[in-house]
Amino acid sequence: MTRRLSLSCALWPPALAAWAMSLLAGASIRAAEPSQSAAWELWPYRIHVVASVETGDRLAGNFEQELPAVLKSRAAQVAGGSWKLEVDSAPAELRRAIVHDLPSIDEKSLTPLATKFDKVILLGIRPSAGGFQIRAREYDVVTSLWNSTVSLDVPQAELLPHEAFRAVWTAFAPLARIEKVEGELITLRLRAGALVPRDKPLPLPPGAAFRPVLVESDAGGPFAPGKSTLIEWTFLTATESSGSGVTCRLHTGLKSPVIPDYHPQRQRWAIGVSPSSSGTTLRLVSRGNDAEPLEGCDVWAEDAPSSGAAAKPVAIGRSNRRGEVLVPAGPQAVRTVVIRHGDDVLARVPIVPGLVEELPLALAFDRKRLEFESALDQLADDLIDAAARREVLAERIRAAEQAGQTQDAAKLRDQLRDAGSADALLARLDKLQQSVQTAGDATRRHLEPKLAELRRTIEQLQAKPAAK
Amino acid sequence: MSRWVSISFVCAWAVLLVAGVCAADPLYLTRPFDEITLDENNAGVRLKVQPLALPGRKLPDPADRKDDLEIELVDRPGERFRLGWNNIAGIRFFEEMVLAEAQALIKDERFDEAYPYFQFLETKFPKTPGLKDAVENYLWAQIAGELKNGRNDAALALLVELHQRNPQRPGLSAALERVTVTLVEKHLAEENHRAARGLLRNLTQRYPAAAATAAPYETQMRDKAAARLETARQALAAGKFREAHQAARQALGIWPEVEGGRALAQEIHRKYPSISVAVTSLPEGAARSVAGDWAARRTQSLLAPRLFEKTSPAIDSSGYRSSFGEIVKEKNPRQIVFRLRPGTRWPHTDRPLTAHDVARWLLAASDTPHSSFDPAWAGWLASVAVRKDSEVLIELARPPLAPEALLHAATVAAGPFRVDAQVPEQIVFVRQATTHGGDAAPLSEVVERAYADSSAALEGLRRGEVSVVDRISPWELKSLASNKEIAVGRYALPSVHLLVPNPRRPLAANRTLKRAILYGIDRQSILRLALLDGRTIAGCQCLSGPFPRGEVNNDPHGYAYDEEVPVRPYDPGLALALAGISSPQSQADQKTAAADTAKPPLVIAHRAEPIARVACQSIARQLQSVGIPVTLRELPAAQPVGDDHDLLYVELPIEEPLLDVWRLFGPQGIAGAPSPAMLATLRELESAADVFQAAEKLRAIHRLAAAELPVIPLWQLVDHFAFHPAIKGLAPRPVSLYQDIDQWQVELRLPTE
Repeated sequence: MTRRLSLSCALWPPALAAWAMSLLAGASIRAAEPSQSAAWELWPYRIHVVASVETGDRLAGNFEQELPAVLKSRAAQVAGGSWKLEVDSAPAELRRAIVHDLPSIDEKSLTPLATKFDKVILLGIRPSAGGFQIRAREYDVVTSLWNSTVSLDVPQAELLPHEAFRAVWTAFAPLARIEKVEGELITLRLRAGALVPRDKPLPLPPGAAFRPVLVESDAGGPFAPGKSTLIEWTFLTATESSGSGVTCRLHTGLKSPVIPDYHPQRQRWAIGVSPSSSGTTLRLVSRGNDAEPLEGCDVWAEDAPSSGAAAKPVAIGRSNRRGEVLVPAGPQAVRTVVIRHGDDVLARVPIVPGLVEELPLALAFDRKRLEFESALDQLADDLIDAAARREVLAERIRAAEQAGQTQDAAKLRDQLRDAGSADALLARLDKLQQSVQTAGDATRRHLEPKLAELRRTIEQLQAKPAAK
Repeated sequence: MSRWVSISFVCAWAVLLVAGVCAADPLYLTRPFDEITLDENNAGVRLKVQPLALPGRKLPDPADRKDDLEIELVDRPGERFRLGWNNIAGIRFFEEMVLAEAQALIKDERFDEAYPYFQFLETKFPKTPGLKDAVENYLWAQIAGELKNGRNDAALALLVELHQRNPQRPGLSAALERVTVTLVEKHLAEENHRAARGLLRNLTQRYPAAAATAAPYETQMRDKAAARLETARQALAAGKFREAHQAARQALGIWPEVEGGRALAQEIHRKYPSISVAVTSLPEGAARSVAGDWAARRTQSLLAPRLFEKTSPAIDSSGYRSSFGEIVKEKNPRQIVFRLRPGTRWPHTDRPLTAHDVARWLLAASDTPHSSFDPAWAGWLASVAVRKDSEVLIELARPPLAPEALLHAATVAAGPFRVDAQVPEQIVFVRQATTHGGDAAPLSEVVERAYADSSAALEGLRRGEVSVVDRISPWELKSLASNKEIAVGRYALPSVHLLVPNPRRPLAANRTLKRAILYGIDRQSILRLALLDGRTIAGCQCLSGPFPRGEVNNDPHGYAYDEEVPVRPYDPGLALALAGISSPQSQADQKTAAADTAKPPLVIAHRAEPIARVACQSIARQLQSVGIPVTLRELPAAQPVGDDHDLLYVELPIEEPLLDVWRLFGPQGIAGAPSPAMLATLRELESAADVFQAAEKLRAIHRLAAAELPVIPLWQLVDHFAFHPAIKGLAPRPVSLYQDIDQWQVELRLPTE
């Protein structure tokens, strides 16, 4: 009997949840935390699983009816009191979408299902060529964030109840509170930690990822949906655990400080991300009102090895005419992608492939800059040629003089005088510099160091005596 | 390290210009001198003197040695001395010393080294005593050596040479007869009857007494030819024209004078017209869209013609024609309709052609895995729909500037001919359907025969083995200028010759090394001397960019070429310095790189075509001399290019720069992924509103390509073909050879001796 799991790593996605719960279990037996922390750790998740089963003739007719009981029983065993689970069949208007097109479901259609719940997990089961396919996706009500879609292939009907729970467990995204920010090191505390049953502590999942979210609350503390803000292009990856606390490393494409200071009416949360085996299409566009697709950008991934060694860039691809490039899942959940255009780095951002199907990324891009850079490259080429030509002539003059060929040497000197002047290069550089001054700030800032270096080199050539 | 290298770094490389040490020259290449040996009273001293002006370059009789001998010492130029004859023990003239050195080489069996000595002596000092005998002995010794090593062909050539010098030399006739017989038997075994006949004829002409030796072999060939001719007669009677044609040709090939052979061949030709074409590379067998593959382009109109064929250099719609239909413009500028001509049939059957067929061809050309995929067309096509039975509605991404050129991409799935048989030396195309578009009796068969080069192909044309030579090497044109038996035609479009860096090798990203290569190739000399043999041919010229250059001012075909961009000059010193700078190793360590002699050679791949071969050999030599070692890799016909090269020599027919630029520099072009600046300019070209804007953008691409060097421009050549004047109906300036094949009228040509 074999099972096929379509996740990149069969063990660690559920391990993320299990690991979080095990940490909380450990916390529950230690000395009490400050009251606020204790409340957070004793605050269970109210989870609503909404299932849609399309079994055809290959399952007993009562499978969908039996499913809630199975899921609740498994949840009690695994999650203990940390989950308050309810399972219902999906309403008619969502049944087909849950089974066939999970990403098409928007949060508005979940509103009636989300009342009184923290999370809604959509669970779809359908027959497939090799057996059955289970898909699950979580929607976190307070943060209004969708998690990745989890997909499992199940070859045998007997395994369906077990695998259905595994899909729900995998799709679950634990919440954590950000307790401390020290540069790139972030300390988290997991919610409902005191409510899970004791179990063997699981090893830290490598690179388990969280997304930081800011949640507004009133003075009394209740959190309402629609009052949260995701900190974009930022992820936290777990590096080690200590009790119910988790130490994470910050990955961000934003300028610091990324995570604001503590404020009593603005909670700093982090929500887990279930990794996916599928990729994300990065869609690169130019920033501004008339955003255009950015074609021809080279996308690289810098996946930091777990050994802590420096990341080795891996070429992902080049953006097509629509500015799109598919970023596949990497060895870890979070991949830092570098977007280059020619020699320039346009952006360096972390993403979790599979979290969304398509991810637009607006980049500052000035088409004029290309022209300037092209002109600069040509000037640099001509400078190299001029310097080389001059030295070659000087060497030939020396050789002619040593051989006593004075007439040849004189002719070569004439050639050197014609070829040796750097004035023309300087004039071209001046003209180019004037044009650059008319460009936007970003382009100017980007080009000025190159212009300065080029000027220095041309002046060096000008100052050097051509020949004795 | 920054691309903008420091001046001091450049200076460090100037040391590379130090001249090498020359090896000692052989005696005949040195400045001539004579050697005088003085008598014992002068201690037998030997004097090197300027050549003595003695009558006949020989010692005067003792009676005539009255006045002192006036000499000039080699190491004291300008000073003259007088020397009494009584002090002279001996004189060795320069030519005697050269002859002695040559004979020493022969003694050591270093025949190749001895040859230039004799050539020198026969040219400069033909009266050297003993020279005639020495040359004959030299040849005889060489003949013995060749026979010993089993090289009968080489031995025969030397025997003929010896015969011309001295037909009466003892043992020569017997040796000539023996070697001839050995070679005749070999050629007969290989069925090379022409060679066998030629050898026997030469033998009997030189030694009529050897006729008895030749007779059995001649009878053998005559009988064999008669038997083949009988086979041809039987096949003709049975209506098997192709077999009859082949058997008759074979009979005439074995013995051209076989009785009744010519008459039978004529009769067969009337019923089954066939033509033989000499080529230097054969296609794989099916038309393929391979950049620079001359053979595939040539046979395209036979096997898989295009929906629209380019027929002239005109850049508007008049430069194209379609045998299948026409383009109708729609109100929506992004839409065009291809309307089938009523009654149009497939080229190979009588089946009517439908709009669905055309739609399939159009879609195939936009489909990456398909052999007819065209990146330019794929970038334009939005959708294809069959509107009526005879109309295909084509929606494009943008309004097209040249719709016929766009539809040129679509390839018809079958052509009027098919490959019937292919062996390494020839390929036979036979007509698939009897219908055709011409007035003349249609050709039933086209046989392409492979020759080593166009010189051999022209020899085949002279001998009647073939009627057309598809491409003449430009250096052959001079010899054909006054030849009344061979007509020469030129192709309408020049081919652009480029070196394309392999995008998967480091060279592609190394601008400095690419410039070094460009400066290190004396393109003008290669073009003028190696390719054109010193002639000037209109349209053959060096290029500064990837597009064809107009032959005259305002030549429409040169509209994409920016004449303001100069052709970079040949500058070997600069190339040497840039090659040093560009080496990655040199950037790491200037000192060791300066002495670097173990650089991995650049691999230049080229097709097994004479022009490419000659050009690449010259390029390799020149690059070698500027410190860029090169290995050449010849790609046999139809072999995929592969990835094992740094540079690929290609010859491209740029038919429409507007679209060909995508095949060169587009995201799926042969030059690899374009630079951001190139891609942006290509997109601007796409959105050009009219031809004038497009031309300006193409010239901008030319300027950019000349700076970035995604391809290294070399030259453009106007290609020519040759044919026997008896062939009628060839287009005066075709774009490809078989463009008007349905108009060809071919008379039977039979091989001659």
